[in-house]
Amino acid sequence: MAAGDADALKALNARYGRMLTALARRIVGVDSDAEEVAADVLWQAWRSAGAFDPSRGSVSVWLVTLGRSRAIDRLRAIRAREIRPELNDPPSTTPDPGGEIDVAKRAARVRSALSALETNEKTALEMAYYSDLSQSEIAEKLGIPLGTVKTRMRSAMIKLRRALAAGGAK
Amino acid sequence: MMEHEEIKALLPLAAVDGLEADEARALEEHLGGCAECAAELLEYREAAASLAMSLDPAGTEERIWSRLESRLHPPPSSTRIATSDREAKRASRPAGFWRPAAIVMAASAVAAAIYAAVLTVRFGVLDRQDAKLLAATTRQITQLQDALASAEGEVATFHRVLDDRSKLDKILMQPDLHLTRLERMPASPNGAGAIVAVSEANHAAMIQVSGVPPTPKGKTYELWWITKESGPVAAGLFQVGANGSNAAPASLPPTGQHLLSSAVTLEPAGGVSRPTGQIYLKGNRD
Repeated sequence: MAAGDADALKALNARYGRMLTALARRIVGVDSDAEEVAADVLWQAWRSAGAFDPSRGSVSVWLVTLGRSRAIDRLRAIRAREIRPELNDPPSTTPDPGGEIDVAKRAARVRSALSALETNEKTALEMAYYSDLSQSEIAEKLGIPLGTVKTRMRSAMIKLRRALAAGGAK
Repeated sequence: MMEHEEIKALLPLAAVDGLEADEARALEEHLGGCAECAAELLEYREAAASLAMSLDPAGTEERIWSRLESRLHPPPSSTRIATSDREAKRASRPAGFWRPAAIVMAASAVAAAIYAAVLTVRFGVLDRQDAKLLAATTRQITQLQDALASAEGEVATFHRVLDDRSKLDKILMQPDLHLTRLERMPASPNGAGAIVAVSEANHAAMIQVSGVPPTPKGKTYELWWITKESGPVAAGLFQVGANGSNAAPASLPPTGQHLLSSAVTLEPAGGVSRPTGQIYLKGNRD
């Protein structure tokens, strides 16, 4: 990827494109914007592959971090344009490309780890991760003290990390 | 100064950008000297990123690829620009550009000679002397393969630099060009500065920086659009080498928002969604 060739970009898309689109779609709620975010992230990663530091995590973590950041930016831009997100767009059902079996296995492990969380912990964590809400805004929406939001998020992250470490999800 | 245990308690929230600004600063300072916390934060980031992997994949690979292809092969703006591009590439071609190409050609020639020698050995009597020659040629081939890989890396880097410069040249030629000068902040040395060029018509933005410190290991410079509606919005990452300068592409400012200023901060590698590091450069929109 560091060499910047088109095949590397294609491989990145095959492996991470639909996952990044799913993340962006969950945040921005618009399919076309989500695909644009995914393309933005892959393009940026391909162009600035030299900025990737393996000591700070895997490629997937890098891409997901970029994807979440870009999707939240896009969400703010959409709000600024006062465009209503098409929240009920059905997700695409195109079959997974080859090489997605690992991703599917990992997804199953993560879902299992998430299902072990308390409902209120999972709610707080997902509100923080999939939106641009501050913790104070989450507290206000849920009608609970800010300290409780932090406690639930911290507890959720600790459980998630332990569960994934035990299950070998990397 | 926060204690180690206090910092450890921040790690789960840090992985989901859930820290207050003062907590984020304390963590950043602590991480530089604490491998244990750095490793634990990495695990929390892996856990946070895994949330995205729990979602059902969306979109299609083909549609995303078509968006990427349009960036790989953008339609030419005009013949004049294309000609200018070639001239710009010639003018901006680094003095050492041909060095890796020369290495590649020389390595290829020597590799061919070695291959011929290997063939000779293969068809001759493989006595002790031939075995020594074979071992020596094997070593040489390995060294040449390393040199080739290194040279190809340099060529790829030069291509990227040329592409970025070419893109900057294109933006500078657009009639709707808007330039913002970023001035040095206390974290930057004297003489540091940058120009941000934006062309909505060309769907492109670039930053040209100079005089800033080389990017430390594990860090990246990050450009921000600061808008009235959203505050700082991430605009792109770039690295700076020993010469203190670089030209790098950036995303366009958010559509429909009032751009107040632009700034450059130093952030953890990979970038962040909200600024946490020191501000190195800043400039107000005219």
